Amino acid sequence: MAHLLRRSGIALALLWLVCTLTFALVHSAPGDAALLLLPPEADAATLVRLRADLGLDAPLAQQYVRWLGNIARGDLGTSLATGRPVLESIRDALPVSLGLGVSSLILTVLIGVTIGSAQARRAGSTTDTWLTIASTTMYSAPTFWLSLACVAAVTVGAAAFGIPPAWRLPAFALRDPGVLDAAAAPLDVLRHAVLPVLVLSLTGAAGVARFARSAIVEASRGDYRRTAVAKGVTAGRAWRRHVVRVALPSIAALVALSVPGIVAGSVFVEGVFAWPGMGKLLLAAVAQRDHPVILAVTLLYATAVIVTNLLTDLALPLLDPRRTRA
Amino acid sequence: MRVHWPMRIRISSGALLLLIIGCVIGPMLLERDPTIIGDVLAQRFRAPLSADGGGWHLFGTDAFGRDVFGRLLLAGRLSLLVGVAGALLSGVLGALLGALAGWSAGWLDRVITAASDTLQAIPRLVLLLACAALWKPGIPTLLTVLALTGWMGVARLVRAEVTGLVERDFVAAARVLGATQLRMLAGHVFPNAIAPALVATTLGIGNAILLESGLSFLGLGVQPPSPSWGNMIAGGREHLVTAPWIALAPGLAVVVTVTAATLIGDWLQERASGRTGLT
Repeated sequence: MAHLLRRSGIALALLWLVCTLTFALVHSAPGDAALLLLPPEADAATLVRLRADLGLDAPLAQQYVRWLGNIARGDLGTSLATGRPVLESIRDALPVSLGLGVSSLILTVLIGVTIGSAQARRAGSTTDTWLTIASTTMYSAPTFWLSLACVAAVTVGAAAFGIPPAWRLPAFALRDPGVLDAAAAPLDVLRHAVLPVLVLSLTGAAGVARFARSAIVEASRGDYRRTAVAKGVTAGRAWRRHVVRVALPSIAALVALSVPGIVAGSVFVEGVFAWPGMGKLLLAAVAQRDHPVILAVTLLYATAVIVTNLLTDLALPLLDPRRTRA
Repeated sequence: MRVHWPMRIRISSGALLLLIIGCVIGPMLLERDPTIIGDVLAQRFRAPLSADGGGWHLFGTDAFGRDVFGRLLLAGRLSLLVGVAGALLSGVLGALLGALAGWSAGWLDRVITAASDTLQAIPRLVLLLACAALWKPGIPTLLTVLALTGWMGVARLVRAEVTGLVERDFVAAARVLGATQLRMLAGHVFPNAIAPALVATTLGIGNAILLESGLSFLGLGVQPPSPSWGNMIAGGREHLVTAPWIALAPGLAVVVTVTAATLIGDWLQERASGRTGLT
């Protein structure tokens, strides 16, 4: 219980630091947010009025306290570009990103750990080397470029091979505007999700495989495995009970570690495949210098990272009894 | 001692060397300057391996009739430079801050560790996007932001090494012999703590190249008309269906470079830690 409180306290402090950092970042930027909103022919009086409306005329410390208070109450401000409350835009975008992110995270871990453990079992073999090269290549491919390559493959590529249009995967958007039938709609979304989820989980899995391999190779060096084999435990059981089981906590920590990568990847994937999620929201806000939206999305992503870290931290003692008293 | 070079490391080093030489001297050997726009209508959208009046195009030509292969080599100069410089800057910053944190072990350590934890809570790409959006895009901003968002990993490694070394006898001996703080840190602790930082920096090069290409793809990094791999991909995006080679060729260059750099970095790490894993 004390452990839980302490960990949560640290997570909260970290969240506050992230808030402060993003606030400082936005306010250290050159240029006046009010100036960006006004047409070039606006006069000085309008500018003064707008600055007062936005609260930009107050001292920085006062702005900071007010902003923190607003965030604590769940008020993320209004978008400078659209005039919409930021919270509303996020409410629309979050389910899309969450769906994409969570399904990709699950696939990432499943594929990554499977490949990594297969490699570790054959460490040093030709298969291992080839899988290392394959996962490194995947890991090294820019997500946005892979997404573009997929788009090219299902459009020009499919056309070149004479695949009939009905069989081709859709390249863009979340759903087909023509599909209104309630029964067909989920299937339609699923069809649209194939490419984004594929790109995101394969690039993520490549990273996870690299780490899972080393974690399992590390665990397979333990004396306890040799002892188990020496006293007659079968190779398969020794592998499962004395190697994979020992590496399990490190692999669980991997889930937390792969979240920032999934977030970063989803920004590009949503951008290229035109998915109306948080990443697309962030990209649009960045293009329009829409500070409140940039701040809010950055905070939300950081929260996701901090919360998954906290959850893994709390879950680790369940997998690793040695950590219970730590 | 003879170093055993596995085949994949030989191939990676060879590819990287070839790429660097190609990017440095290649553009000087081209018969047509790949930045100059000539007869657009006659020369644009040539498919790969085709020829026009002006010469032969390995990777075809882009929407303005410029040779994609020539621009690829030219762009490689900037992309490689930004990648290496960005990784080096964050490596140096991380080594300094990590050594400082490990050595001081007081409030300074707590401040640096808190800063590092805070920055690591925000996905690096998101942090880069926010910074690049707020400041004027360009190469100086890009390098600053790469350094400011990439130092934490190296700092953590160096801090751990330094904390362990402070306890060692040879450091105590130096202290007894009257060495100053700076001399102990710079002469005895730092040189012994630097190996993992070097390896991490090597691994950071691939990452920096990827991030540069991502930011340039979004128009927040290297600004056209200066070609970089990222903004070439962005330029080919709208012609993806009619002329996919414009976007696909520079992406291949990124994949080859980063794969080779990462394989070499992993191998160095294996050797440094004396293990066969990829920790």
